[in-house]
This record gives sequence, C-alpha cells and structure tokens, in this order.
Amino acid sequence: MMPNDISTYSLQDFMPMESEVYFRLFVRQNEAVWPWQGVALLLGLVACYLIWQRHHVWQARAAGLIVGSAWAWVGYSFHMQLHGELNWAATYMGWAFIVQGALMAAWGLRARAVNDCASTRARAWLGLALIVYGFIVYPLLGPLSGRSWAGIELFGTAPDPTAIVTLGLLLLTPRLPWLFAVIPALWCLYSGATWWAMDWQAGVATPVTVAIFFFAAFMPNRLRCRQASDQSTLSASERRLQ
Amino acid sequence: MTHMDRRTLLRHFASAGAGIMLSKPLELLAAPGAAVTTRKIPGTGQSLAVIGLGTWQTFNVGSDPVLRDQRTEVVSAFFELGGQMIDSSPMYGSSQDFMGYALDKLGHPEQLFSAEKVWTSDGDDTREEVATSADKWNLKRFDLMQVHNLLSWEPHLETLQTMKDNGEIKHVGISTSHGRRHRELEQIMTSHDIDFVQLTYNVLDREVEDRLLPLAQEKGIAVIANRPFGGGSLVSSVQNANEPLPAWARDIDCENWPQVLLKFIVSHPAVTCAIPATTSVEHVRENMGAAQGEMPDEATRQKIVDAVRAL
Repeated sequence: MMPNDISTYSLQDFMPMESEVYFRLFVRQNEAVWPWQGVALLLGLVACYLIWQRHHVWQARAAGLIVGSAWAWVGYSFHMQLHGELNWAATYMGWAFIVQGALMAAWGLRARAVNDCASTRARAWLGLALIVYGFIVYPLLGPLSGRSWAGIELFGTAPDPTAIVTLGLLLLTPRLPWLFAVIPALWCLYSGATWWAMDWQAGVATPVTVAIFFFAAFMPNRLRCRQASDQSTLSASERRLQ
Repeated sequence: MTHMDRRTLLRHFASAGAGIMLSKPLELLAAPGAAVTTRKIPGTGQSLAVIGLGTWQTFNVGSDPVLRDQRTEVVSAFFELGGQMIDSSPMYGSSQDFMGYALDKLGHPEQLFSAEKVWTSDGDDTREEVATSADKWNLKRFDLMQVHNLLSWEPHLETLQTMKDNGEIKHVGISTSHGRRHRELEQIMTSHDIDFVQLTYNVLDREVEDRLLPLAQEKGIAVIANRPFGGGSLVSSVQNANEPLPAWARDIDCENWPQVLLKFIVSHPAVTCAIPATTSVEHVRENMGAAQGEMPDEATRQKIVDAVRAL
C-alpha cells in the first residue's frame, strides 16, 4: 500500500465495530464468567501481596501462576471467544495473551530463590500506583463516565486492567524482566488507540500507564536489600539473588 | 398489507407505467404514503431503490442477542420503507452472520438485493468464499458479487464472470473506497465487462465526477456510492455547525441534512445507489427519505456543495 493510500484513512476506519458493540463485549464477558470475576480479582490482589512480600520461593511461584493464568484466561475467554467474533485480529491478540500467560507462569515457576533486594523506592511506588490504578481506578472509569456497571472491566477478566496491573507488578521486581513487559505495553498502546477511535476519552489514559512504566523502568535503580537480621529468617538458598 | 402484497402491486404498477417512465432518468414507484425513487441497473434493467444499506461496523455485533435484535429492527425498517440493496463483505467481521440472522427473522423479504464481496488474496478461493458468504447469509445466490478493494481482482473477476454465466450469481462488480486506486479501477471498467462499480462519492469527495462516473455512464455500469457521509464526518460537521436547513432544501423534499447529503449523491445521473450505514431505526427512516420526493437539479446540487463547504 502506498503512503498516500494510508493517508486517506482515519483511525476510526481501522475499527471494525461501533463503540456500543465494543462496550457490550465487557457486559457479555461479565455475564459469561459470573461470579468468577470476583475470584480472579481476589487472586490478583493476592498475587500483588505475594510479590510485594517475596519472603519465600513459593510466593513468587504462586504469583507468577496467578498472573499467568489471568492472562491466558483473558486471551481465551475475551479475545478468542468474544472479541474474535468482531475482529479477525483478535484471535492473534488472544494467542499473544496466552503467550504472555505462559511467560508469567514460567517466570514464577523458574524462581529458585527469593530476591532479598527491592526496587528503588520511587520505582516501587510508581509500580504500586499502576497496580492501584489497574485494580481500582481504571475499572471505575467506565461506569463513572456513563458506561454500564455491568460492563465494568476488572483484572483477570478484562485486558486493560490485567495489562496495567502486570506492568505495575514488573516494576516491583528488582531486576526488571523486559521481555515480560512487551505484550502488556503493546496491548495498552493498541487499547488506547481503540478507545480514542471509539471516543471514550477516559480510556486514552491507558497508554499513559506505558509511559509511566518506561519512565520508572529507566530510573536509576539502587536496590534496597534487607538487613542481615531480616535475612536470618531466610534459608541460604533463598538469600541468593534470582 | 404485507410486504409481498405491496411488492406485487408495485411490480404491476411499474410494468404498466414502464412506457411512460422510460424517457425519465429517474423512475418513481408509488407506495402507500411514499414513492421510492429507483434506478435501473444498466446491465439487466432491474430496478433498484436509490438508497441502500451498508453494513461496515454497524452490523458487526457478533453473537450479542440484544444487539442482533436491535439491528434486525433497522433492517426491518429499511425493507418497510422500500429499501433493497444491502452490501457487506467478509472483511466486516460478523456482519455476514448477522445478515443471515436478520433475514431468517424477517422471512427473507423478496425485495432484498444482496450485494457481497470476495476478499481474499488467494485467486483460487473465489468460489469457496462466495459459498461461505452465501452460507452465512442463508442465501442460495447473491444478486451482486464484487471484488473487494481490487484485491487479486484478475483471477476473482474471471471466476465471478464464469459464475454469472452459469447463473450462480446475478451481477458482477468491483469495489474500492476512500478514493484509492482510481486509475486501476478505470482500466478495469474500460477493459472488462462488469455490471457494478462501487466507489466513494459524497458532497466533499467528488474526484470520481471527473472520469469514473462519466465512464460508468458510457459503459453502462451501475454505480454504488459508499461512504456517503464521509464515514460520519459530514453528518458530524453539519450537526456541529448547527446551521438551520436552507430554505431551498424544502424544494427538494428534504427535512434534514442527511437527506440533503444523500440526495446530492443519488441525483448524479451515473449513480445507481448510495449505501449509508446506520445502527438506528430513526436514521434509516431519515436516510430512506432521501429516496422520496424531488431530486435536486444541477443548480441545487451546486447549492448543496456551497452550503456544506461554508459550514
């Protein structure tokens, strides 16, 4: 396609459905998974707590499995089952989410020891801010801007909060696994463009979370390690860095 | 009166009046309460209401039962007001599946003029894709099959011509949009025997007036105008400007700006049908109003252009 051909399109021309239909996807997703969205949300909070704690290897493994399962579930149930009916590209998005789920699960399962150190305080706070945004603020934006409460987007069942929370979680890790940030960041950018095309202005904040993630990720990261007295509770193998 | 009864009556009326109508560029069909303007397809002489229905974005509702039923009301209103052509494509997500759902619900109205497209880069897949689309619409054959956006048009057009000769489809066409690949389109119109061409034409996108529309008239090719509202931007512009409808709009029986915009398109002598898409019954009623009453003459067409440019 020639460049002048592309210039004849607007962003809206690439969206195969009306905003009403896209919004309805989340209502239908919530109807389909009810009441498991509550369980998914709770497990997501548990995963955040476990990563924040990082006292034991099992905590890292459980967190990785929980977050990985959330990605795979959103990929299958949202993208492949619902979104895929409207957009041929959604099937590929679904596979990307499943790959991200596998990555996150592998990340957890390969943990052989806990990391005694934490990210620099500013990075950790920004990560926490993204987590709070993904868990609480973002889901409320829809209903508060006139969309249906029945279509509330939650971590573990909707793609945006799942991706935003994951970016926040990655910022909590002392050694940022960049590979695991690629798919969440790409999704947030795509989603922001979708919301823009659909004229849902609150959703345009989603790509901003990517900007915050990269800003935090490139901050000088002086690791804060636990004192020797704290480490006494850890086994020798657990004291090693991951 | 049922749809069938009305259609039969209209057909008899049209036949009786054909001799009188032949000299007129536009043909008016009487209907209870409203006359629907039609144009003849040059290749076959079949009459077609000048306002059709597009399906891009609007009918891509997946398996959502709420939206499927709501959109079926839109299609029902379209048929009730004398609409015929509904245009879709495999590219339009679940729009084809929806059409099958809606037509089943509405009892497959006979007045439907089904327009579809072949959209695959594999030139050997023409028949398979036509069959898949027919399956989704729950139709035995399409009234029109177009090559979507000139994609692999040579092998597709060859197969579609064979299918037309075999009676598997009624008309063959080719489509483009957004004003793209007009030179290639012109070559195809010149060198191939096609019944329809689909292109973008509206009050602000008039490039096709220079060469393609005159060529279509010369070659006897029916013209479908897509993006009649410029993807919605034209309607937004007139709504945002909040300008009252000019007095001359009453002279061409327009009650609102969308009707003015549509009448500009379908009053061009080369245009057979415009295909606005909508999700609203109210809007389909507005749009179908453009198929009724007086059509603008050349002077009024210029007034429309000037008025829209001034907004």
